[in-house]
Amino acid sequence: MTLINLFVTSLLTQNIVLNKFLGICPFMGTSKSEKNALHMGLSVTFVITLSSVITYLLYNFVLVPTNTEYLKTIMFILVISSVVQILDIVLKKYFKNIHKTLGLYLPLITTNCAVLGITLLNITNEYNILEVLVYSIGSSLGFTLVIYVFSTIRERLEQTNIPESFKGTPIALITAFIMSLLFMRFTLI
Amino acid sequence: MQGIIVLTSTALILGIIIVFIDTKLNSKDESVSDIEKYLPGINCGACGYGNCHNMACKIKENYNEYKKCRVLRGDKLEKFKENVKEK
Repeated sequence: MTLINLFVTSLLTQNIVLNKFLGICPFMGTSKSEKNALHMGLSVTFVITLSSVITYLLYNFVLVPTNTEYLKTIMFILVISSVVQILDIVLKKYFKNIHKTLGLYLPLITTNCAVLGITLLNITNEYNILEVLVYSIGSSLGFTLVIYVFSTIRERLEQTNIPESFKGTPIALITAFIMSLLFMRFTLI
Repeated sequence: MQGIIVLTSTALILGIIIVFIDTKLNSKDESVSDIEKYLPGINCGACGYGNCHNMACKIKENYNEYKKCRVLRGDKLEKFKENVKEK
């Protein structure tokens, strides 16, 4: 029961983008088209899930026994960048189209603070391995959900008549603000 | 001291894993080596790509690139056209 609770919490009420404000860069950058957003979301889901499990094991079985917990930040960055590199190689080989459309944003997953944020939150919240898995999948699916919904809104916005000074990023930021307000409402339930 | 050992060994292991995956996925690219077989193979670099392997990669992307090869003439050109077809 607590696992389902954790999943829903990380997916909606404590959404990684709209409540914790992590991962804003890809949220703004790759949400111009529906397809891009979905590909980005799924890539981030893969990276977050794999790197959370690896960093959790690394922290508890290597860093804690050797008294080197202070290395966790640099160690986690190392793991995340390796996972992104592996994803890059695999996409280049099997999904050339996705690799081309994501372009520069794919290596930029390395610097996506949502990934590092979730791996560090796993440690500070003292989750066990099952909770780590549920929490990372939940929050990364939350990221995918929000970026997908946001991209559909943005595609609709492109066809509407917006005042000249609000075109492009300003209206996107206002949309994100209203979405954030709506998601904040979930915490009161 | 412990920190240095832990960080270095983790980085080394991750590096080895990445290199392993990279070589395993990229060595299976048979179509490039097939094209390379019918190129002269003297790596003169006259095409502008440095060597015959890079040239084969470019031909895979765009068939007409083969015209840039200065050495591919006569019989060898006929053989190349026979075996490497435009997709």
